[in-house]
Amino acid sequence: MNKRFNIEKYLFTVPVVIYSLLLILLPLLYVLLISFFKSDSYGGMIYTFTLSNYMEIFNITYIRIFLKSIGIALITTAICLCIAYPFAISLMSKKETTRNLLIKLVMVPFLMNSLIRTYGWIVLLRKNGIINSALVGTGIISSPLSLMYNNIGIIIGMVYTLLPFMILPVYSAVSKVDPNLIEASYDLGASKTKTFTKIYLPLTISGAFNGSLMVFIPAIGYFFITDILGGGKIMIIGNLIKNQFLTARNWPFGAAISIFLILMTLILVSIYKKLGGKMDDLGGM
Amino acid sequence: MDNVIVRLENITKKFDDKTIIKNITLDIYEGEFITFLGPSGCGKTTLLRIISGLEEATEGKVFIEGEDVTNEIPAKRKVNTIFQNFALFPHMTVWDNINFGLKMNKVPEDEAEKRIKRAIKLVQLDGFENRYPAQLSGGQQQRVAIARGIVMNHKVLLLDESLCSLDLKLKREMQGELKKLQKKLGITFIYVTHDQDEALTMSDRIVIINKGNIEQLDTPKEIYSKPNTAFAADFIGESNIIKTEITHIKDDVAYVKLTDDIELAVPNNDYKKGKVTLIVRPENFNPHKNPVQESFAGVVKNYMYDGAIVKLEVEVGDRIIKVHQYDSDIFEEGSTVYIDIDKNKVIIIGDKNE
Amino acid sequence: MNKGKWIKTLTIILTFIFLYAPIIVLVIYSFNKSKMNVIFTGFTFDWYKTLFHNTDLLEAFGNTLIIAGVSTVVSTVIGTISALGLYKYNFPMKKLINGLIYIPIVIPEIVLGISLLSVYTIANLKLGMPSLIISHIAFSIPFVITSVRSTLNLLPKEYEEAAYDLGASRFDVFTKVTLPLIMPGVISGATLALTLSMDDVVISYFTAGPGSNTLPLQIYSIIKTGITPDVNALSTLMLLATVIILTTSALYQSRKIARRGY
Repeated sequence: MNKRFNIEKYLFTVPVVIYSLLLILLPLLYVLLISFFKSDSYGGMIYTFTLSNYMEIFNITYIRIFLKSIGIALITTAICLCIAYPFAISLMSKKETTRNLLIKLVMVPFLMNSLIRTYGWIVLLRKNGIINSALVGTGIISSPLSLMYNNIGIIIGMVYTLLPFMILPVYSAVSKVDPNLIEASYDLGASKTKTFTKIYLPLTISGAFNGSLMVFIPAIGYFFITDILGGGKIMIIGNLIKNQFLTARNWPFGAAISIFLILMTLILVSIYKKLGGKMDDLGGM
Repeated sequence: MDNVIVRLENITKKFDDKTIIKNITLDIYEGEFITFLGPSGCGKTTLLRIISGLEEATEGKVFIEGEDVTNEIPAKRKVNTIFQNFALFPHMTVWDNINFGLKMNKVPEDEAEKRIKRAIKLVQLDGFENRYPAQLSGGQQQRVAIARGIVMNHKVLLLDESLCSLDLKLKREMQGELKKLQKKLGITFIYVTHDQDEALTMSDRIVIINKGNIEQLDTPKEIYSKPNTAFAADFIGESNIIKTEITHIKDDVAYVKLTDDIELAVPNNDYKKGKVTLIVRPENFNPHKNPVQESFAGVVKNYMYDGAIVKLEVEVGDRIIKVHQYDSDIFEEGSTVYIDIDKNKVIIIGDKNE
Repeated sequence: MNKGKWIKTLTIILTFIFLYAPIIVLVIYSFNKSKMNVIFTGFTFDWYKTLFHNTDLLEAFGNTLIIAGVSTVVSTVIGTISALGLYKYNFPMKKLINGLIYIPIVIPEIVLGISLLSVYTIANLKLGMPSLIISHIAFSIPFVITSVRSTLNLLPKEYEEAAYDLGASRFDVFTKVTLPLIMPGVISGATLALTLSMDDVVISYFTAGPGSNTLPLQIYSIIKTGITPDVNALSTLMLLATVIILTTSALYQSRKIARRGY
C-alpha cells in the first residue's frame, strides 16, 4: 500500500521540515555565525572571524553577572522544589477528584498575564505596600522592610512566575508513586524524612529534574522580572543579552552569550535524558 | 463445505530480514469455522492481516470469492475483521459504530437501518443502540464489534483473538454464542487464537501454525487423536512426548523402548526400526493398584486432585510420565502403581522432522 | 483529623495563598476609590470606565487578540499535521527535525527572541504585526506537537485499521476517526498556544516594531513608568474571562464524560 501514501506523506511532513529548518535551525545558525563577527562602534558588524566575543565573557564584570544570574536561578529552583514537594505530597492525602480540582486551581493564576501577576507583587512588597503596612500596623516591626528593588524581590517574582512549572512535573511524578511503597516504608519503621529521601526522592527524581530544568533555564533569561522587581539595578544574563541587542547594539557579543546559554541548556537537557527523562514531558501542561 | 471462499497461494511474509510466514498455501471453504492456532509470534495474526489486506504479503496471492485481491486495499475486500481490542470508535454510539461501514459504502439509509436492526437483534443488543462503547461491558463490546462486521453482509468474518480479553466465564459463554452465530449466519469465520480450548470447542477445522509454517490442518478430533508432529501433540491437549527408538518389528507388532528395561508392544503401522518420537496422551495410560496384563510398574511421585480426574506423575525407570486416573482409587505418593496402555491410541512419529 | 493531616492541609492552603495573593490584591484594588493601592477608601467602578477610554491599552489588547488568534490557529494546524507526520512516516532528516522541535521548548525564550530578530533583519522583514505573528507561531508549534503526540501515543492503531477495513477512504478515516480521537490533544495544544501567545513578553519584546504594541508590552511599559488603577481593572476582567473559559470547558468535559463514559 506504500505507493498510495505518497501525497499524504508530503502533506504531513513537508510543513514540519520547512518550519524547523527555517524558524529554528536557520536563526540559531545565524546567531552562531554572528557570534564570530566583530562589532563596530556604530552598532554594525564587521564580517571577519574572531573569538574575542567569547573571550569577553571571561571579563570580570560579566563573570559577576553570570554568577549572580546563576545564583538567583539556583535559589529560585531550590525554593520551587521546597514548595512543590510538600505541596505534592500533601495533595496525595486528598481524594482524586479534589486533587484534580486543586491542580487545575494551581494553573489558573498561571493563565493570567505574567506581568500583571508580577505587578501584583509590587503592591504587596513595596515600602508602603500591604505586607509592610500590615507588619508595621500590628507593631511587629517598627520600620518597613526592603522587600523589593533587591534580590529578595527578584527571587520572589521568579519563584512566583515559575512555580507551576515545578509543581506540575513533581506532582505528576509523586502521584505515580505506589502508595503501598510509602505504607511499607512506614511499616518497616522508616521515619518521614527517611521515607522521603529513600522512597519519594529516588522515584521522582526525573520529575524533579524536569521541573528544575523548566525553572532554572527561564530564570536566567527573564529580564522583565529583574526590571520590575529589581528596579533595573540588578542585571542577570537576560538583561545583558537584551542590552547587547537593543541598547549597546553589540550583536556579536550578545550572540556569543546566547550560544553560551544554548550550550548550558543542552548539557542540562542531556543530564535530564540520562536520568531517564522523556523529551515530550518537558514544558507539557 | 465445497466452495473455496478464501484461497492463499504460496504466501510468504518478511519483515525486514525476518520471515514471519513461509510459503503457506491454504483453502478455506464457505460456511466453515476455521481456526489459526499457534503460540504468540507464530505468524497467525499476520496471516489474518494478509487476508484482510491490512498487511501485504511479500510473495504469493490472496483470492477472495475467486477474485485475486492481492493488490486490493482492505476497503475493497469482501471480508471484515473483529480486532482483538474490538477497536470500537469511542466517540460514536453503538448504532453509529455499526452504521460506520454502511455509511462508508454508501448503503441507502432505509436499507442500512434494516440491516443494523437485524444485526443488533442477532447479537442481542436491543436497547443499547444509543450507548457509547465505554458504557458497555466487555461482552457487550464484543457483540458490537461482531455486529459491525456482520452488518456488511460479507461471506467471511475474520476474528483476531477476539475472546482473549474477556474473563474465563464470559469467554466460555461467548465461545458457544460465536459458534451458534456462525451456524445461523452460514458465513465463514476465520478465527485466530493461541488458546487450544477455544480452538477445539468452536472449530470445524484447525490450522496449527508454528514458526510461519502450517504444522497440521485437520478437524479438532483428528488433530487430537492423530497429531502429525510432536509440536501439534504438545500444543493441543496434554501429552507425554518421549524421544526413543523402535528396537525391532515382528509381524504386525512394533516394540518401542519406554525405558532401558521396558518395551511397549504396539500395533505396527508401517513403522521402521530406528529413532522415533513416542506420543501418549495421559488418559491413555491406565493406572492400577495391582499388576494387570502387559502392565509395567512405576512409583507415584505426585498426586493432584482435579475434580473429575486425578493427575498422576509417575516415575518409570529414568522417566517421569503423566497419567490421568478416572476411577476412585487412591494412590499415595511413593506407592507403586501398575500401568497399562491403550495400544491403539499410541502415536509414533518417524524421526525425519526432528 | 490527626496532626499529620492538619499539616498537609495547611501546606496546601499556604501554597494557594502564595499563588493567589497578588491576584486577589489586584482584584480588590480595581474597585478602590483611592488611586494609591494602599488603603481601601471606597467602592467604585471608575477604573473600569477609565479602562474603556484608554485607547493605547485597548489597541494593544486588540493587537494581542489578533496575534494570539492567528498564531493559535496556524500553529495548531501545522502542529497537528506535524505531529501526525512525525508519528507515521519516516523521512530523511527525521532525527534532526525531532531534535529541533524541542529547542524552542527548552532554550531560554530570550535566545529564541534574539535569533528570530536577527533572521528578520537579514531577511529584511520590517518588524511589526507580521514578524510578531511569525514569532508566536514559531514558539507555539512545538508545544502543539508534543501535546498532540502524547495523545497519539496512547491511540491504538486498530481504530484506523478498523475504519479502513470497513471501507472508509483515507480522507474519511482522517476526518471521522483519527481527528476526533486526537481532538483532546489538539485542544490542549491550542489552549497552550493561546496562553503562551497572550502572555508572551520576552519574544515579543524583540520582534515587535514601532506601532505594533501587544498587551503584555504595553503593561510592561506602564509598570515601568508608574501604574494606574485601570490596569487593575483590566487584570480583573482577564481573570474573570480565564475563570469563565476554564469553568465552561470543565463543565463541557464532565458532561461529555457523563454522556460517553470516557
